[in-house]
Amino acid sequence: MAEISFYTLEVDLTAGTSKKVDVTEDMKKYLGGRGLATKLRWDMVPQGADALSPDNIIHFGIGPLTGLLGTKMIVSFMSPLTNWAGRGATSGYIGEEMVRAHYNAGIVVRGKAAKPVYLYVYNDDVEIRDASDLWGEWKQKTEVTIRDRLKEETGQTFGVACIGPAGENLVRYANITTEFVHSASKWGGGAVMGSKNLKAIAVKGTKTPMYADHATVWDMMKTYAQHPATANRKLGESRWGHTTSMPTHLRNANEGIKNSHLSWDPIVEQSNALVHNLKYYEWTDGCPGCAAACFVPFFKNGPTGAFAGEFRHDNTGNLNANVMLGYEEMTEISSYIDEMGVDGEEVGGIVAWAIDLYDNGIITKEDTGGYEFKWGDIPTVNRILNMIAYREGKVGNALADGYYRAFEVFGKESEWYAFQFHGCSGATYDPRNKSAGRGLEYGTSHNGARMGAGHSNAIRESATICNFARSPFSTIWGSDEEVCSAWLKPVAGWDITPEELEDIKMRNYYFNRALSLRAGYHPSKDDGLCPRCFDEPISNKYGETWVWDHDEWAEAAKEYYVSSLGLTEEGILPRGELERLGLDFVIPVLEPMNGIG
Amino acid sequence: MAENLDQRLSLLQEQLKEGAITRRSFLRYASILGVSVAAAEALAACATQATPAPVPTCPPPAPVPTCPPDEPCPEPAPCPAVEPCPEPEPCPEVVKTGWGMQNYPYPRSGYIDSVEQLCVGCGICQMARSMKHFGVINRDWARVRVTKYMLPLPKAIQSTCVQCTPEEAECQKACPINPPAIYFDEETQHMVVNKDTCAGAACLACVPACNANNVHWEPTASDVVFVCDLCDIDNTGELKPECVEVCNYNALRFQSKSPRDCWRIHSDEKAELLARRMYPLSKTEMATEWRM
Repeated sequence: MAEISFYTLEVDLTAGTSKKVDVTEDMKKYLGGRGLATKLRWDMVPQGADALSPDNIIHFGIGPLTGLLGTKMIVSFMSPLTNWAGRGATSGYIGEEMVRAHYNAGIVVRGKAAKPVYLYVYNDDVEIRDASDLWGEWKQKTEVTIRDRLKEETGQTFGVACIGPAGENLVRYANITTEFVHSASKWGGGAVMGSKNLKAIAVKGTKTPMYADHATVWDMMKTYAQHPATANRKLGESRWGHTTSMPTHLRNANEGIKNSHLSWDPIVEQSNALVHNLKYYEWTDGCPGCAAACFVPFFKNGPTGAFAGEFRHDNTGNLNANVMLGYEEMTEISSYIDEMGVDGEEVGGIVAWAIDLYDNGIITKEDTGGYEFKWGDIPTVNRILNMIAYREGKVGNALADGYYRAFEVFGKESEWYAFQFHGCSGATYDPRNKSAGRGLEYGTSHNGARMGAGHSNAIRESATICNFARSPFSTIWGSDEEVCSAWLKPVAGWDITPEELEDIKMRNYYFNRALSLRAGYHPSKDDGLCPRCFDEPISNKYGETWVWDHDEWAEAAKEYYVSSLGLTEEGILPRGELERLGLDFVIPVLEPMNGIG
Repeated sequence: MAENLDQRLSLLQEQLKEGAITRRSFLRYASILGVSVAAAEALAACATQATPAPVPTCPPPAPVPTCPPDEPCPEPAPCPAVEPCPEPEPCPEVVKTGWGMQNYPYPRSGYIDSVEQLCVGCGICQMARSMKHFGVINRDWARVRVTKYMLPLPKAIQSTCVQCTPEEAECQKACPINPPAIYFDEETQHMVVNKDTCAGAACLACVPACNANNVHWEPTASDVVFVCDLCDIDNTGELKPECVEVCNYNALRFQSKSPRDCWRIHSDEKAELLARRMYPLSKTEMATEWRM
């Protein structure tokens, strides 16, 4: 069976040029998505470059399995929030358009345009087009306008990913959205696009995907589509999306209540998935190739306006009970977050922190421009969101830069109230709850305090297997590595064993950590939990209580570095493994920075 | 076709007899197949419930011999070996292939109905159709189309040929060739394109004639136009649409004929109708009191 080739589209906004680049060899080594993006960033972004400068790149990455095992697009860049390796993962059909335009390793954008532009990709036709009239527009208007214009021009429906006002104003946790409800939210990809004057990318492909063996791919797809595990997965996902898991998390002290101060509160009962579903459910939506669709958007047309969106942990979990609200109010706030284009998970923690600071007199009415910040109040939350997205006043400007930079504005005493890890909000999957197992993952992450930095995602986000779609595939084909091995043969023509994929997983994990180490991260100074994890215990509704002890944390982290992450006890990279996995070129760079053990 | 109906009814009777389906389901399926209720009830009565197989029992133990008085007891005869009870046979497994509409009996003739509210846009139906007809996965080469709209919520909307009757088929009427190269075949009960007479790129009159955009022209895939043939590629009358078989959401249904020409509606128009239901305002006019 012939092996297929992989190509990226490389666009230089400064020079206004683009070219198609063969990256087949790198794909075999790193698999694609986040793995390939690490290699691209290592090679193309100079060490020490400012994330908001033209030197940064942004990779709209896909992998060999995009469009088959869910449709994921992994957007990678150097993060303006942490300065380290950053990425956001989004769904929607834009990834499949890239496959069909034969940019099956994604699109890389570098440089900076002189004025607002959007990238137009229609098969081999690539143009950097003026977007001055769209600059300042909210997300939905932007996306609908570009889609409508291009449909009129070409007769085709384009996949569009765009930024909102927050991205334009370089809010350090601005996100990128496609189809209005799918966001690549983490660590500020929207600000990177904003810094390049890139309002949107629009992609359409009409070619036949370059699979090595279409018949076998289809046989496997049919097996998946007709399997009982798929039908079973569909039942829960397609009805509820994420709306049922959040109340469960709130009861089990996995999600924050009142800036993560409370353990359980009656406000939790206001997050009721059935009430939400009966009032606002319209239909279920999915991505190409996924028969277990999990997007359950809502629509509400009330006296204060029309609101549309979708509840997920990412845009709801950190607000909701964390600012003492329920689902009813969140319909209006979630919609606004999507329009502004900020990472809902990050901004949720930030808003709750701002209200907490106001409550404790650390920021005053004078700082807020005369507004009172109150718990459980929609106008308060939307006001703060507005201040952040448009960087209004002292408070808005400080909050838009994230916790670490805001500490300098609000003073030392504001630090204790921040429920943050590596300068990122951490109220979803509360790290104090040891049964949830996030304490160690958050505290040792080289990306920032979020899920997804570990090994498992190193393979999923490289091959582009959707986390939410994958369970039927696991039932049918086994572990992630076995799934990849089985699918990569007919898709790419690669004979690659699960053991070799295990190596790729570790290679991608080490390399990603190496990239953050090169950018200034070091476990000795950065890893750990915020003070409240040691001072303020958390209980679930049923009376179990957790809190960390400093010695316990130090011991657990050492153990976690070695046995779970495959690092040295200090959390740095093991030289022998780097050499074995062909990453020896990072050693001379990281050795002077004490990154090799 | 009639033979097909008989076979399907026999199969249903068999299933009812085995207890795999209920009497109610039998009546429902039979009526879907076009059998009247009275006839279906009669057929159900014929298929009596299977009598349970008798549970094998062990032979009774041999009587213990008693001795007459004042006589020496003879040696008791050895007891006959008790045969072990045979294992009961396992229940036959009900095999279910897939979870879509293929579990419903197919009609003798019909069309693929699309249920817009149920479609999630996975596009697996398109993969099936392009694979079946062209041997590759390319959604634009499918005879069922799924388009993603922003209303502004993302919504996938399908478009399928409704197999218009000759009196209604605008594509057939538009064909300048005599007899038309695209036509409804009464024998096999679906639309057919005559590859020998269709002029392809030189004509294409049928493509815009279909209001619902269900006649497709993809020059990289085929020299002639193509239209839904219910996956009966060789035009033998064997109707087994692949897209219906793989739709996990029952959003595509192979249904018997009905006055369906009225829903020959373009997916753009369907999208507008759905959007209007949601928005009394224009769909781009999302309002909040916080709009700048």
